[in-house]
Amino acid sequence: MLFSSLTFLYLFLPAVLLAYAVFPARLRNGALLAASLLFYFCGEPEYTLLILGETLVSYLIARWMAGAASPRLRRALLAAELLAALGALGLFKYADFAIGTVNALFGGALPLLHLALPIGISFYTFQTLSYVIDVYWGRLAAERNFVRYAAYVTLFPQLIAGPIVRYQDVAEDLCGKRMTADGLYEGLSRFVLGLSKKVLLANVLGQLVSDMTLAAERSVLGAWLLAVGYALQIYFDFSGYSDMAIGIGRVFGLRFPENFNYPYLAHTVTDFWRRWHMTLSSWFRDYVYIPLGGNRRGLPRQLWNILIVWTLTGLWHGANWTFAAWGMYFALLLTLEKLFLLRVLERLPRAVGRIYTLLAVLLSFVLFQSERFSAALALLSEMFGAAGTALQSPAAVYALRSYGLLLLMGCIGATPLPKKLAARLGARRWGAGALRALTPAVLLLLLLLCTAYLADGSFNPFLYFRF
Amino acid sequence: MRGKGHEIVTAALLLGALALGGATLLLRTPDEVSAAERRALAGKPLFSLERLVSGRYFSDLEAYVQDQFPLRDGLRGLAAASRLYLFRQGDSNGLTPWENAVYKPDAALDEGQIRHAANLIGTLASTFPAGVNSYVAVIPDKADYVAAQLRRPLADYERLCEILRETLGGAVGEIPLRDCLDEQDYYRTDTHWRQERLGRVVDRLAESMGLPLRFSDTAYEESGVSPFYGVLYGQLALPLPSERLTYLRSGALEDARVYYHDEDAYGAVYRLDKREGMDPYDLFLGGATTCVTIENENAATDRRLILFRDSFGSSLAPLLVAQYRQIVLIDLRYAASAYLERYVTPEPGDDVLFLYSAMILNRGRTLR
Repeated sequence: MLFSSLTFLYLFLPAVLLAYAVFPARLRNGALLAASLLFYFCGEPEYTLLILGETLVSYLIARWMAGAASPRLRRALLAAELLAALGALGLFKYADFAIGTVNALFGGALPLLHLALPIGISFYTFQTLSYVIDVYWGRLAAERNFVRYAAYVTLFPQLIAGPIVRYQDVAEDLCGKRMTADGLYEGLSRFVLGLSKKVLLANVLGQLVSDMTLAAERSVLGAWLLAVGYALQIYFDFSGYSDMAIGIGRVFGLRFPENFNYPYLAHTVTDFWRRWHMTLSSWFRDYVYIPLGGNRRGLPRQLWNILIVWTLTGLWHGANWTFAAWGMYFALLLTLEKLFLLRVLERLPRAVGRIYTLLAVLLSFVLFQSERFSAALALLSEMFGAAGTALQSPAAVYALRSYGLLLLMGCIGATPLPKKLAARLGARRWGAGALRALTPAVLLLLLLLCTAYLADGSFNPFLYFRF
Repeated sequence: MRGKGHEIVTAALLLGALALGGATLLLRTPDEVSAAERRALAGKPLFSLERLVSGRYFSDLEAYVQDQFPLRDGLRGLAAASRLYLFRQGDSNGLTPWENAVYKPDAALDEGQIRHAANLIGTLASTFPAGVNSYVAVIPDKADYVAAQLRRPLADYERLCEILRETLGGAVGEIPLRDCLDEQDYYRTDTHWRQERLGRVVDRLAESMGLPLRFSDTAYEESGVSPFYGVLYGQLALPLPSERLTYLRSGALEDARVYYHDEDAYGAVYRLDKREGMDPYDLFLGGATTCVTIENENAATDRRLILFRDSFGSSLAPLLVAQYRQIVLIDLRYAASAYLERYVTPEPGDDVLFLYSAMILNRGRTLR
C-alpha cells in the first residue's frame, strides 16, 4: 500500500485514526503495531514474517546485551545482530548483484537467486541496527516492552521510505503519545502538502522524464529537460514522502526527524549532504564513519573512511555498480572540498558555490537514474552536445512548453520562498487573518486535486520504494 | 477564527473529507461499467485465505477503490482541467482538446511496427494468385489536419507511407487518401471518420480500382443516433457538445445479405442493437469482428472485394456494396493471416484492399 493511493487515504488512514483515537492509552501501541503490520502485509504478505523476525531477533539480542556483564558476550551479541540484519539485507538485496559481478569477472554462469526485494528492508534494517548498536554503546537502555519496540520498528508512517528514525527519537513519544489538536492540525497539513508534492509535482515530472527518455529524436534541450526533470522529481518524490511520514507521525504524537532542508540551496557538496536525506547521512556518520575513526586518525585514513562510507551510501541506494560509482563520485567531491575546494568556494560569491553544487548534483543524478554506465554516458554526451546531438527537437520543444510552468513551480517550490512569503503575509495585521481563512481552503483544494489525479491515474510508486 | 479554533476547524475539515470519501466509497453500490471509459469496472474483490496471503486480495482492492471511487468521472475531469488550464500542459494523458474536438495523435512513428505490418501485407499479397488486384490505403489521423493548431509532435504520415512503399516495393498498389479528407470528416469526440462525408474517399477508391459507380450515383438517406459521445470524450473527461452518429441507408444496403462469421448468423449492415452499447460506432457491421461477408445480388459488377481492415473499414464497406457482388471484410487483429483460407481464398479477378488507419499501422504488431 502506498500513501499516495486512494485506498490508503480514504480507507486505511481514517480507520486507523479512528481506532487509535478510540482505543485506551495502554492499547495504543498495540493498535499502531497492528495497523503497521496490516499496512506492510497489504503490500508484502510473504515478507511480513521477515520483518517480525528481524524485530524479534534485535529485541532479544538487545535485552540479552543489556543484562550481559561480559564485554566479550556483548561483542558476540552485537556480531550476531550484525550478521542477522546485514545477512538478510545482503541476501535479498545484494546476492544477485554479487553473483552477477562474479560471473562477469570470471566468466562464470552461477545461477541468480531472483529473490524479490522486501519493501523497506533497507530502512528497517538500519533502524534495528541503530537500536542494538546504541544499546551496545550504552547510549540507550534496552526496551523491555516488545510491543512498544515492535511498534517503533514497523511504524507504518516511515517503514517503507523513511525518514530513518532512531529509537531515542520516539521512545518518549511511544510512552506518552496522544492525539492533540496541534498534532492533528500540523500533521494533517504536513501530510497534505507532502501528498501534493508527490502527486501534483513528482508524478507529473516523472512523465516528463519518461517522455524525454523514450524520445526517438535526441537533443541537448531534451537531455537537460530529462536531467532537471529527474532532479526535481526525485526531490519532490522523496521529500514529499518524508513530509507525509512526518505528518502522519505527528498525528499520532510521534516526532520524526526532518529529512530535507532545501538541498538545492546548498553552496557546497558538503552542505548538500547536510540537507539531503539527512537521516541517512547522519546514520552513516554515526554508525560507520565515526567507528572507522572519522577524522581522528590523520588525513589519509579520513579520506579512506570517506571513500568507504560513500561507496556504501551509493550501494545502499541500489545493488548496481552505477550506484556505487555515484557514491564514489561524491566521495571524490567531498575529498576535494576537504582538501582545498571549500576554502576556494568560501572566497567566492555564494552564487558560484550554489551553481557548482547544483551542477555537481544534477550530473550525479544522471548516473543515479541510469541502469548502465553506457546510458549515463550517452545522456551526458547529449547534455553537452557531443556526437552532433541537435540543440533541440520537436519533442523537446513541446515538452518545454508543456512542462515549463511545472518546472518553474518545482524550482520555486524547492526553495524556502513560498514559506517566506506565507510568513511575511502572516506578519501583517490583516495577513494573519487571511492566512487562517485561506489555509483550510487551500489544503482542502490540494487534497481534492490530489484525489482527482489519483482517481485519474494508476500505479504511482515512490522512487525510493525500491530501497 | 483564532489560534486553536483555526487549527481545530482545519483538522476537522481534512478528517471530515477523508472520512466522507471513505464512507461514500463503502456505502455506495458499485457500478459495473464506465460508460465514459467504455470498459467494465473492477468489482468487489473476492476474499479467500489464498488470495489474502498471495497479495491478490489487496491488489484487487486497490483496483476496486480506484474504479469505484465516488464522483470518479468528475474527478477525472478536474484532473484534466488542472493539467490543461491550471498547469498549462499541452495534453492530458495524450489528449488535446481544440475547438470542441479532441485529438489523441501518436507523437512519433514506430518504424519497426510499421515494417512488421508492411511485411505482413507483402507476404499475404505474394500468396495471391495472378490476376488478383492488390491495393493499400492509409487513413490519416485527424490530428494531421490541425497539426499547426495543436502545436505538438505528430507521427509523420508521409514517412509512414514511405516506409510502406519501401517495404512493399510496388507489389501492392498505393491509393493516397490524405487529400480526400480534412478534420471535418472525422467525429469531434472520436477517432473515426464520418460515413456521410466519405464521398471523396469512395470516389478515389473507385477511380483507382476501376469501379463504375461514384458516391453521388447512389441515393442515400441519412439516419442517426443522438446524442453520440465518441471514445475520446470519455477519455478526456471534460464537457463537450454531443454529436450525431450518422449512417447512410439505401435500397442496396437494405437488400444486402450480411453473414457474421463469429456469430454464425446473418444480420443487417447496420447493427442497430449496438446503438445503446459501449461503443455506438459498432453499429457499422457489428464493430470488431473477425470476418464479415456482404453479398449484393444487384451489384454494379460481378466482382469481389476482400477488405483487410480495422474499424474504419466497417463504415466504408457499406458505401462499396453497390459496386461489388461480394465484400469479405477480415480483421487481421483477430484472424491470423496464416489461416486466411478459413474465411476466403482470393481468386483471379478479385480486388484486395488493405485499408488501415495510421494509428493501427503504427502498432503493426497487433496484425497477425
